[in-house]
Amino acid sequence: MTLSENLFENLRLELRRGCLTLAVLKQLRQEHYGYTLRKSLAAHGLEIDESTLYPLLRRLETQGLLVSEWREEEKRNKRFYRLSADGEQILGKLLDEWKALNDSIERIQ
Amino acid sequence: MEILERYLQAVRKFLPGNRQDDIIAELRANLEAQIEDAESERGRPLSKTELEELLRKMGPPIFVAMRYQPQRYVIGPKLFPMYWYVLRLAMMWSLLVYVIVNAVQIGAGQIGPHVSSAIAQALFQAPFTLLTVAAWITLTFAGIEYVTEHYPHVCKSHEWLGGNWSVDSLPALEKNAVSGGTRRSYAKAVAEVVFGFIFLAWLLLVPKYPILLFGPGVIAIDALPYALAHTWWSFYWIIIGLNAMQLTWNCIDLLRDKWQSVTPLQHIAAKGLSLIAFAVLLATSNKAYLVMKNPTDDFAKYGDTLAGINKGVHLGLSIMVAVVAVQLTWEIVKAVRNQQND
Repeated sequence: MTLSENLFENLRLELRRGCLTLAVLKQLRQEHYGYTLRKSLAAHGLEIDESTLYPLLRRLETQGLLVSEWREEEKRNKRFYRLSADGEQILGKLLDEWKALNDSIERIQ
Repeated sequence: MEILERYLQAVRKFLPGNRQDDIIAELRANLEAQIEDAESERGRPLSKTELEELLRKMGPPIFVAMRYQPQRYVIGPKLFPMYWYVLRLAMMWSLLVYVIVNAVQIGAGQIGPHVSSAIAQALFQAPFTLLTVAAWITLTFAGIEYVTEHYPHVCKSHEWLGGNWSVDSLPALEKNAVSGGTRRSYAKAVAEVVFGFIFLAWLLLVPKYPILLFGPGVIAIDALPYALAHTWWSFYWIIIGLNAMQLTWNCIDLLRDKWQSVTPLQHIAAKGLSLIAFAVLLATSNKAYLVMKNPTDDFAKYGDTLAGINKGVHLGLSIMVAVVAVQLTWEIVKAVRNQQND
């Protein structure tokens, strides 16, 4: 990897980091467990590694933005996540911020 | 599915004890769902190679486990600039204190009878002292990082990071920034102090170990019938004083955060002192810069050569003093003009 490719990769990862959190929060307005969440994000064009997504879910839950419960589905215990009330509030603010940023960037010639 | 169990077992080893079961159960459920999905797509069970490829994509167990740990910093990016600033200041202060304490101890003969070995010992121990200071500063800042992160109500990080700074606290505009004095970088200022310290130590060791100055040539010098006259000792101590003064000045500049430029006064003082040193040599009586080791035996044989050498040295010194005196006068004139313009 050349120096400029490496720089691009670092900047890309930095840019994606915040966006992925936003996407995960938004997608979890509907309940999902880890694997189906990853599939649904991929279906929307947002590929995310398992090793990134699963710890992210834990972190967001620790921060009180998600709630989870173990439940049996198709004869297997799975941990289902959904947005908490606090998470809904913060998601609303984050989406406003995201739109404002996006609009600003679009306006820059 | 033995390979899946082995993978989960490896991940478990790197997870925090109280969350191991929960995280592994979730990871297992997700991986099993993924495997089932892949199998239903293919309409057959996954082969060993396909399963291995799926786990390989997941990543090495240690990295997977580490991502479940909260992000931790010994000193975080918010606090780091302040840490770096304090560390640099502390290193400079400790170096200065260390030099002064050791100089006093060596001067008082408290470290040992041999000055050269005492200096060598002080030089050898200097890095350890500085490392100890750096370790304490780092530990202190790691503590601040921990408290500001875990107890934000006790220690508000924005207060540490200049959240309450006032524009009035900005230093006045430096004269040299406007009039275009000689600018230097912080690295250069620090390098000047470090190399000044090393140079001074080297200079102090030269009388005891002339090999440091002359190298292997010291053997040839020993064989010569001539020796340096006593006047060189006066010259030597003035040069030591000049370098010690320069080093102290540079240290004070760094500590006072005034390292950005070299003032004309510093140039003039350094040049003036070096002029005095050469003038002392020039004033040597009978121009005797070199003397005979055994005058009674060697004078007849080497007397004329010695007189010629002394005459040459005197001429060289005269030219040097004249050049330095012209330079010094020019710098004084320049400094006075700049002062009048300001």
